[in-house]
This record gives sequence, structure tokens and C-alpha cells, in this order.
Amino acid sequence: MKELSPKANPLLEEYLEKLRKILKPLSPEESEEIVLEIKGHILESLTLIKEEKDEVKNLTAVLEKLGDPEDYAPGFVTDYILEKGVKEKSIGLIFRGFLRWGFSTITGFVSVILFFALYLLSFSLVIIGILKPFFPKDIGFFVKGKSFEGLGYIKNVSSVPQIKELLGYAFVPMAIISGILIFFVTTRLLKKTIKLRLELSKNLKNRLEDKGRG
Amino acid sequence: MNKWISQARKGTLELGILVLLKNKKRYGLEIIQLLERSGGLEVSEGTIYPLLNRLKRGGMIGSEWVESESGHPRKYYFLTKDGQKQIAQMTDYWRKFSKTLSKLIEESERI
Repeated sequence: MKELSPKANPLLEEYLEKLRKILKPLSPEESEEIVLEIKGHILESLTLIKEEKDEVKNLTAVLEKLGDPEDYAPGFVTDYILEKGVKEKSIGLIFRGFLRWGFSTITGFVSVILFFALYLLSFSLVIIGILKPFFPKDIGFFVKGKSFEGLGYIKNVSSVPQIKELLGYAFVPMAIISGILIFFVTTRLLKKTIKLRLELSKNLKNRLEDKGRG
Repeated sequence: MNKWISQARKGTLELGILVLLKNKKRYGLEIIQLLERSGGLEVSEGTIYPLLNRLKRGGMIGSEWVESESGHPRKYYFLTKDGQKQIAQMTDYWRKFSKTLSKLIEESERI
């Protein structure tokens, strides 16, 4: 392999070090393989530049075209964490991977917000269901005439004569059960979303085929 | 508008990569050059690599390192059996989809 000039080499090493840092959550083998691939890309791109300009200038141009590792390398880590989380059934890893996805793409961001809202709704329902007996007048399903006024806790709502609570103590089981139901539906949806992202079933099948092939 | 183009490109990039691998194994830089030649990449070159990684994790493609005359080994990608099946379905879908869309556009221009 052709060596870079003493001026250009630190620039390359700095870039690869930045990449390595982002890939840290990966296994060392996987991380090193990616670094090797990117390094190959850079060195070969350099040989493709015809004009014999200053090597530092050429390298800078190549790195610019490739992009900052921060812009593309987190993509490697997200998939790795999600896949590992699903395989090891680790809620923590799945959560971490999911959050990373939320910060890296628009689709991910929307999904994370959506799932967060659904979980919040499910927990809130269970909690206000449990709290109902302690604040019977302020918690419930409220209507004003025929229109919906509110669900949950409304402070001093009993002082407004037009607003009525509809469910009474039936609110307790209804809120808790719907909260739990939403929790399970959301979790199923979340699992499906992650599976879809990883295409895990295909992945596992293919791994086996690849192994069979050697 | 530029944003829309880059979004549309990102969405079709995977299919583009798979199509390029249909008959031949290729390495990252080669794929990037072919995509660039076919009308601009619109994303930084590095974006291709996590995408290749994802396709590999998804079992659509496999990879192998090959020594080259350029001095450093290249990581070549190829379609797996599963990828071959998938790409047939994807191209079918793409043809139908683009046909429908072109028709819609034509009709809207006639009015």
C-alpha cells in the first residue's frame, strides 16, 4: 500500500479516529472492518485524482465528498444495537437503539414521538384510574351538555355546575383496563416496527443459508 | 425542492444498490461511482456504507474481501439468494408504481 505523506497521514488518522469513536458500541471486529472499508475508499479515491496537486488538498477534497463521520456513521451503530437488543431480549438496548433511530432520521423521530405519546397515555390512564377513589370529584370522564369536556384530572371541576362526570366508579376499571390494553397494543406495534426495520426473520434465515454455504 | 429530491433519492437508493448488484459483485466506491454517473448522488458518499451494512444485516446481500491491484483489499458485495428473490418483487412493484404515477402526471397535464 502506498504510504501517505507525513503531512497528509495525520489528517487521515484523525478522520479514522473520529469514525472509530462513533463505532465504539460495535464489536471490535465489526468496527475495524468498517474502518478498513472506509480507509480503502479514501486511499483508492486518492489514486483516482489525476492532477498531481498537493496531497493534503486532495485528501481534504476526498474526505469532504465522503462526509463527516458524524453524518453517516451513527447509522451503523443504530442497526447493531437494535438487532442485539432484539436477539438478547434486552429492553434497555432496544430502548437505546430506538432513541438513536429517533435522533438520526425523520421516520425514526416521528415513530419515537408517537410511541412515547402512546406509552404516556397508557401509564396516565392507569394512574388516574388508581387515583380516582382519592379524588372522586375531580377525576373522571367529563361532559358539558352533550360535548366532551375532558378525561382525567380537572381541578375543582365539581364547582362548575354544567360539567358532569359520566362514569362514576366504573371509571376505575375502565381507565386501568384501557391503559393496560393500550400498553400491550403499543408494545406489539413497537416490536413490529423494530422487526420491520431490521427485517429480522429474513436476516436469521439468511444467516443460516450463508453458514451452509460456508 | 432540493430537500424533496434528496428524500426521494434516499428512498430509492436501496433499490438502486440492489439493481447494481444484480449481475455482478461490486465494492463500495464502485457502487458510488455508478450511482453518481446515473444522475447525481445528492447525498454524501459515506451514506452508502451504513446502507450496505443494513442490507447485509437484512440478509439481502453478502460480502467478501478481495485483494486488488490497487494496493488495498476491497470489500465486495453480492446479492444473496434471498436478495435475488426480493429484487424481482421490488422491481415489479417499482415498474407498476412508476407507471401509475406517470399516468397520473400525464392526466393532470392534459386538463
